[in-house]
Amino acid sequence: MIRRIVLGAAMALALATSSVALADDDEHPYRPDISSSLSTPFRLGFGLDVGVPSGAALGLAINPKLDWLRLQLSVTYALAPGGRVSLQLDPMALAPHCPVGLFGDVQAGFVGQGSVPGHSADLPSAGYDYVNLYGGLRLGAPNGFHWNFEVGPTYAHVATSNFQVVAKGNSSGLTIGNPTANGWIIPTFVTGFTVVWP
Amino acid sequence: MKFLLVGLLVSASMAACVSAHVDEPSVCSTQPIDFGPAPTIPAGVLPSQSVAVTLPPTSVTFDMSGPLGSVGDVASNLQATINELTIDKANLGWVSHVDVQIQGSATDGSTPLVELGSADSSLVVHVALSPVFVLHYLQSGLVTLSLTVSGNVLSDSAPSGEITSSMTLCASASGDVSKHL
Repeated sequence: MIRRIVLGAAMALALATSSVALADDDEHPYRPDISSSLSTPFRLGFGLDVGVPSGAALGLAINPKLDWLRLQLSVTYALAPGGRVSLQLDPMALAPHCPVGLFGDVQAGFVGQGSVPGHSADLPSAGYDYVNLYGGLRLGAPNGFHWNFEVGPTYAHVATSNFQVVAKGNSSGLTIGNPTANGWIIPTFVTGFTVVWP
Repeated sequence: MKFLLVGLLVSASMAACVSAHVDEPSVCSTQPIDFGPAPTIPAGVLPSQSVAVTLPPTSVTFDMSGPLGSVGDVASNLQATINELTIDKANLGWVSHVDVQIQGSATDGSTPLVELGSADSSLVVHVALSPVFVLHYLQSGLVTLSLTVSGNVLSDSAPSGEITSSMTLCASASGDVSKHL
C-alpha cells in the first residue's frame, strides 16, 4: 500500500516537473496532454459530509487505480464518535471531464453509545449500526473537487443502555432491560464534498 | 440546481417513514411473599417421620403496565412473554408443588400457571400462557398471583416461625413500529 502511494506521488511529481520543463523551453512549444494515455493512477483525497444517520464525517478517499470505484474511510460524530466505510460506484467517472455524475454508494457504519449532552445520568443512551443504500448526484469532476448529494434507505440496529433511569422514582422496584430496535428508515441522506488529487 | 436538490431532499424528508421491530428484552420485578406462620406438626408424629405440609394460600402483586404500556404506545402487534417466574427457595426447599393462579385487574377469573421446576436457588414456575394472554394480563394493570405451596417435611426439621420468600417476574415485549412523517 505505502509503496503504491509513494509510486503514485512520484508519478505525479514527474508529470508536474516535465510539464514545467516543457513550458520553460521555447523551442518545444508543443505540449501534448499525455495524462489520458497513462493508466489510471492510485488517487487519494479526503471528504467532509453531514447526514442522517451518520452525522458529521471526515474521511480519507481512495481510488484504487479505478476512477469509477472509490473507497472512503471516515470517522464520524453524531451522538458519539463512530466510523463509516463507503464504497462508491461511479461509472460516469470514466468520462473524467464530465462535471456531473450519478453514482451508487453502499455505506456501513456505527455510532457508539451516546446520550444527550448534560443528560447522561438521567436519560438513556443509544448507539446504532447502519447500512445506507444510496443513489448520489455528483457535481464536479470526479478527480478534483466535487459536491455529492446522496439519498436512499437505511437499515439500522439501535441499541440502548442505561434504560433503567426511566424507572427512576418508580417505587414498584422494576428492573427494565435495554430495548433494541431493528428497521428501515426511508429516506436518509448525506451531502458534502470530496477532493481527489487528480 | 442546488435549490432543486434541497427541495427534493426536503420533499423526501416530508415523506419519510420508519419501519422497525422493537424489543424490550426484560422488565423484572421482585416482590416479597409472606406465607404467615409455619403450620404446626400434628401431635403424635414420630421423629423423622415425613409429614405433608401445605402452607396457607397467599398472594403477591406485580404491576408492569407502565413499561409495557410505553412499548404499546409506539408499537403495534405487541407481544409479551413471561421469561422468568421464580420463587426464592431459601425457606422453601421442601416444597414439591406450587399452584399459581394469575389474575389481572381487568380480566375475568384466574388462570393457572402450570408446572414447577427447580433451579439451584429458586422454584421455577413454567408459564403455559400464550403471549396473547400474557399481554392481556400484564397490560391490565395490577396482576395478582395467588400461591399455594405444599410438600413433605421431616417432622423434626419442619419449618417454624414466619415463612417468607420472594417472587421474581420477568417479562419481555416486542412490537412493530411503523411511522410516516
